[in-house]
Amino acid sequence: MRRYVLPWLFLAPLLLLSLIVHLIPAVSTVGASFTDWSGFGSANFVGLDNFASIVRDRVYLKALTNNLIWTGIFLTVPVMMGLFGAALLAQVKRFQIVYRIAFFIPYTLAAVISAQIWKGILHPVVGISPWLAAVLGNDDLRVNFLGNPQTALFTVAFVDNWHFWGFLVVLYLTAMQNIDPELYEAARIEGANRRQEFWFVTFPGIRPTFVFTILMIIIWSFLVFDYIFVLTDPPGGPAHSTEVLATFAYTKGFRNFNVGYAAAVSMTMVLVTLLVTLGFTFLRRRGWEI
Amino acid sequence: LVGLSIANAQSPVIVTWTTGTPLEQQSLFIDSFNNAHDDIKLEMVFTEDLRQTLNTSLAAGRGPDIIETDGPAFATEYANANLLLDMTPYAEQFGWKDVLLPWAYDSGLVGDMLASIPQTFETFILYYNVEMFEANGWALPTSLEDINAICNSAALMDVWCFSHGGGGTGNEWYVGTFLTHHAGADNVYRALTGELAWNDAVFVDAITALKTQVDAGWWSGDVQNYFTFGWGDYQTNFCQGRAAMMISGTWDFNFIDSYCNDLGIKLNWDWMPIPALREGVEPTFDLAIGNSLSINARSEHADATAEVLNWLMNDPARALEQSAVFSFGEWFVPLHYEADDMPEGIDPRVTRYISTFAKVTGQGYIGYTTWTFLPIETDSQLIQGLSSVLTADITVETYLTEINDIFVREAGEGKVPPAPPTAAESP
Repeated sequence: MRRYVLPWLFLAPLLLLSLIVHLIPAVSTVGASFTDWSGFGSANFVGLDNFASIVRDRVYLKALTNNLIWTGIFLTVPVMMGLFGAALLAQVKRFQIVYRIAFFIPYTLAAVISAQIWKGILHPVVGISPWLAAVLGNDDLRVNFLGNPQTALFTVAFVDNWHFWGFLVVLYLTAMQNIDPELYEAARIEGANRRQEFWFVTFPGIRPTFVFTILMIIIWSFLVFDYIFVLTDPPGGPAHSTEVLATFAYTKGFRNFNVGYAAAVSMTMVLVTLLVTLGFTFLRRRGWEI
Repeated sequence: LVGLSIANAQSPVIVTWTTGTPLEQQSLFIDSFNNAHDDIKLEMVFTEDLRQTLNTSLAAGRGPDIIETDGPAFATEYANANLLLDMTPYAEQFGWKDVLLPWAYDSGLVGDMLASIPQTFETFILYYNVEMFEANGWALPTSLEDINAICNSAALMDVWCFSHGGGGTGNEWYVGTFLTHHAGADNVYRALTGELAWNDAVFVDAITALKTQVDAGWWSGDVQNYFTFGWGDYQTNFCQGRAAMMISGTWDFNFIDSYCNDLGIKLNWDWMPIPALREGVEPTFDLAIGNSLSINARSEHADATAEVLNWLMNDPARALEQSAVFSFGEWFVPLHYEADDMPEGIDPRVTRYISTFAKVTGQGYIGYTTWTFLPIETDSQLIQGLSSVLTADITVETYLTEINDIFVREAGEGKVPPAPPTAAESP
C-alpha cells in the first residue's frame, strides 16, 4: 500500500499547484463563457448567447481568419528557414556554437523589448524606410508597414518570425546531430546527393521533432498575442487587420468589461487546440510515425 | 500592554491609493496631506497598468481604499457591481456639492448614489503653430470652411493640417470632436438621453466630414500615418513644424513644451476653442473628466479615505498649486476658482483657458467627450470601429448603427453616466 501511496504524496504539492494554477482558472473560464460576467460582481447565466453572438460577430470572424493566415505563415516560413538553417549549420564544424548562439539570441529577448525596437525601425517618420527613401531620393521606398491594413499582419508576423525561427534552427539541429552518421555514409555509398540525403536520411531522422514543432506552431499560432499587442495600437489595428482571437478576447474582457464574452472567445481557441491535438493523437494511433 | 496600546493609539490609519500617475509629480499633495494629519497616513502606489491592476484586485475582493478610474463610465461599471461606497454622506458632511462645479459633481452620480468625484477635468482645444499662421497670413478659423482653406493652403506647402495620434484612444478624441462641434452638442445631448439615435443623419454627416478630411490627407499626411501615430508622435510632429494645428486635450499644456524641449525646439504655440464645424452649431467647450476617485466598498477606513478626498477639494489654492505641476493638464479638480486662487507665474495661455472655460461653460455652452459621457462598451466600439470606416471596410451608417445598438443595450443596463444639459436643452 505504502508503495502506491508514497509516489502520490511526493507528487501532491505539484498536483495541488497545477490544480490551483491551471484547473481552477480553466473551469472558471468555462463557467464564465455561459454568463454575462463583467469581470467583477455577480454574473447572470446566459446559456449559449455568447457563442451565438460570436458566430455573428464580424470582428471575431476576421480574427479567426487572421489566426488561420498566421498559422499558414508560421507553418511555412520559419519551418523552412529553420530546416534550411539547421541543415547548413550541421555542416559547420568549427565555431558552430557561435552561430547557434547568434540564431538563438532573438528568441531569448523579451517580446516587449524586441517588438518596441522593431516598432522604431518600422516607424513611418523616423524608421528605416523613410531614411532609405531620403538617402536614395526615392519616395516609393517610404512604406508604412504597420499602418497599411494590407501589410500590417504580415509585418507583425515577420517580426515574430525574426525572433522565432532561430529557436527552430536549434531544435532541428539538435535532432539532426542525433542521427547516426553511418546512415549518411551508407547514403553516400549508394550515390545520394545532398538533397536526397536530406529527404531520405535527415528528414526521417528528425521527424518526431519536426512533427512536435508543427503541433506546437499550430497551438501557438492560435494563442499569439504579445507581438501584436505591442506593435499595434489599438491592439489588432489598424481596422482589425491584425486582430487575432487573443487580442479580440483581451479587448472584450479588459477594455469592454465583457469577460463572459471574452471567455467564450477563449473557449473557441481551446477548441481549435483540442482538435489539433486530437488529430495528431488519432494519426499516431493509426500508425503514423509522428 | 500599556506600551502596546500607546503605540496603537499613535499609529495613523493607512489610506491606500493605487495611481496611474508617477508619484514624484503628486508629492505636493501627498506631503501636504500627511504633514497636516497625524492620525491618517496616505500611501500612494504607482502602477503602469492601473485599469488591469484594479480589475484584478477588485475581482479578488481587495483593492486600495481609493479607487482611481478613467472617468465616470468606469466608476459606473464598478458601482453597478457594488464595489464602490456611496459617498453621499461624506459629500453632505464636507459640502462637496457646493465646492465642485455642478456638472462635475453630477457626473459622479449613479442613480442617487455618489459613486465618484472628479480628480481632474479637461477639454478639447485647437492648438496652432503661431509662427506658421503669421507667416502665411492665416486667420484663426471660425468655421469648417476656414479650416478647409487652411488645410488646402498647408497641403500646398507639404505641411500637414493636423498633427494627431489616431492610434490607441485617438479615434475617440476626433469622433467626439466632430460629434459635438459638427453634429452639435444639443444633438449629442439628445442622443445621450435617448431622444435621438446615434445613427441619425446629423451624426452620419459629422463622421463623414471627419472621414473626408482624413481621406484628403489632412490628418498627418495619409490614413496610414493616422493609424500609426500615437502618443508622443503627434506632439513631436507638432513641435517639428510638420503640422499647422493639433486638436487635443488640455493635458497637452503639460506635454507640448516638454516634447519640444526634448527635441531642443522652442515652439511658439497657442490655442483657441474648437470652432463650430457646421452652420447653426454653437461653439462650446467639451466637458471631460480625466480621472475619477471613489471609495472602495470594502475599505476599512472609509472615514479616513473621505478625509483624503476632501483634501483635494477643501482649498482651491492648494489644488491649483498641485495642478500647476502638470501645467494644469492633470490634477485639475473642477472647483469654483477665484482669481486670487491662481498661483503666480502661470503661463498666460493657461490662465486664458481657465477663465474662458469657466465663462463659456457657465453660460451652458458645453459639449461632451465620449469617454466621460458614453458607457464603456459604446465608447470602445466608437474607438475600434472608426478605423474600419476609414479603410472603407464598413460604411459610416453601419458604424453608427453598431454604436447605437450597443448604446441602447448599455442604457437599458443603467450604464450611461449622467450628462448635464446644454443651454438650449436646459429645462
